[in-house]
Amino acid sequence: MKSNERIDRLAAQLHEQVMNSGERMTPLERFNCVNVHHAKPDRLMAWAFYREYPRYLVDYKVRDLETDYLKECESMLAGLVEFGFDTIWTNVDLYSVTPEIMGVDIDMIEDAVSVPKAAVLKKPEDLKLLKAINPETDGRLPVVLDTVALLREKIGDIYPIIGHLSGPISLACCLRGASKFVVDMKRRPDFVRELLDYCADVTITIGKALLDRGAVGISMADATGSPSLCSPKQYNELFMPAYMKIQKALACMTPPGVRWHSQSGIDEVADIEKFVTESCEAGNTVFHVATPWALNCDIKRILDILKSYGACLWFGIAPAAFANLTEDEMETLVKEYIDTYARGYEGYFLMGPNMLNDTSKPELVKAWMHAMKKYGKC
Amino acid sequence: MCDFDFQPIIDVIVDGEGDDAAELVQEALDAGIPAADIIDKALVVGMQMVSDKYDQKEYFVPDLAASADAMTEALDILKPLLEQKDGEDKGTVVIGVVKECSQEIGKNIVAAMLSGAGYKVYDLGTNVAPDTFISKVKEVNADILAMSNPMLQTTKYMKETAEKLEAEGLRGKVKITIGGASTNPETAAQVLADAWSKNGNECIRVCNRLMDDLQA
Repeated sequence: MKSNERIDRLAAQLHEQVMNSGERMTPLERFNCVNVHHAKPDRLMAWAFYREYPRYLVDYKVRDLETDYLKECESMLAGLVEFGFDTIWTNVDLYSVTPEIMGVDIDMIEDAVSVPKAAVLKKPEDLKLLKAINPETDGRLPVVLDTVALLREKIGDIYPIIGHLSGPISLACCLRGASKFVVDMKRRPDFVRELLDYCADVTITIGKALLDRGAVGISMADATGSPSLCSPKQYNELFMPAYMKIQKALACMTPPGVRWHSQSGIDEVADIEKFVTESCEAGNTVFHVATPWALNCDIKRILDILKSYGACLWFGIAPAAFANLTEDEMETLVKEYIDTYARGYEGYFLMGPNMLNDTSKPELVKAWMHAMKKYGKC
Repeated sequence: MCDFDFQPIIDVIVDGEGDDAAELVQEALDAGIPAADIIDKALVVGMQMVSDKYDQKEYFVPDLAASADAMTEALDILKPLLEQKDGEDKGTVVIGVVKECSQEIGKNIVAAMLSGAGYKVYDLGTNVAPDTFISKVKEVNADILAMSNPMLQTTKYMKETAEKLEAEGLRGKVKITIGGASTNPETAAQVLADAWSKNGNECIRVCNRLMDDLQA
């Protein structure tokens, strides 16, 4: 059977599964209910960031997904059929697509995410050599855009197709080298400002292309740009202008707006209320907190702030939980999180793994979804 | 010579000024100050002040990284002079970020701080395969292998490296310490390491303890 035929079959299976699920809403309706209208959905949104995780279901390697949009689609769809998440999104800079366009040497590994090998900005003056990009033609970006377009065509009536962006700090670190970038923050803040402005422009260009090709929303992850990477002053003066530029450019193009998350370090922010408020004022519509670190924070206070701005919380369950718990423990954990944090905030609450990866056990992913359906009813 | 003023070198380390550190260190050498004295009385003192400021949240990662960078610049000048005196190191450490990872900010800081604390450090960089760690450990007769792992899915490579070290019959002679964003004290046991540390300061203490264990 050809890849196209397998994709059609998986898409048909998904339609059948969703229609026969016994649930009142399709994943797309649930997404719109929470992310656009902030109304109470039929159940809590199961928000999974699952990347290349389901490739084993279709017997592909990571490199296949990084280079072939049909295989990427097939893997994504197979994951939805197997686990029943409410979300589907495609990857860009996780796979070093943009840095590669900029000339960063990439180590393409057969069955692991590609790794940038060396930075291209050996000295600050090299920034002038970087050009604007064309997402329709440059490097492997067409693979990403074609994936979005095909997913939209096949399941866009029942699933929210989310375009995934890597944030400007992560891109800047690839271009300059993370260690040098961090030192630059102290020694050459003007250069950092200029570099991040350039990275914001690139991010906007890719975001617009994702929306043009059918993504209903944009999810921007900036794992390197966690608040723990720098001082609050540096975060505000160097990072925030880049984030705000992206938000301003893209938020008006998509009803759910743009979300961004920083992988960790939220609990180390001295004034979390101020940080969340500033994030919302910058236009962020989904704020990510990652357990276990975030459990040190006042989650309900964060939710109250987000609610007042019409933004959602993505309550991320630690990847370690998907590797180490038993199925019963996972069910208990999900119930506890829902009872403790979600009640009263159903129109503002998204819940799921921070990220699924090869350490995640399929039976625990299923146990999470089972618990979401069992305890997440609204 | 006893009157030599180390304060300007201490200041540039604390301020994280790489070029100035190299220049001042060269001036000190030209004035006849032994390399070991420059390290002990200026670089280590400066880095300790930086660490204290970091612990007190007066300094942040960019400050730490800039100071570590300045320290590295200074050590690049001093190391060739130190290597003439074998046996004076506290111990030999091989350090690197595990396979399939390219995030090295923390590792660079730790490597610089260990150098400043008197360890001979071989930094293998990022994306280091288990076999590469093992061959370097053997080549330089390392006492400690320090692995940094920023991502959960690559934790397996730390364990693989520890198992290979065991298979080579080196586990009794080489201690393993780990760190990185995805690790915690429990990870050390999971990957068969001897210790875990949260930051550079702690890693120095851990390495000192591991060296004591080796010598016991």
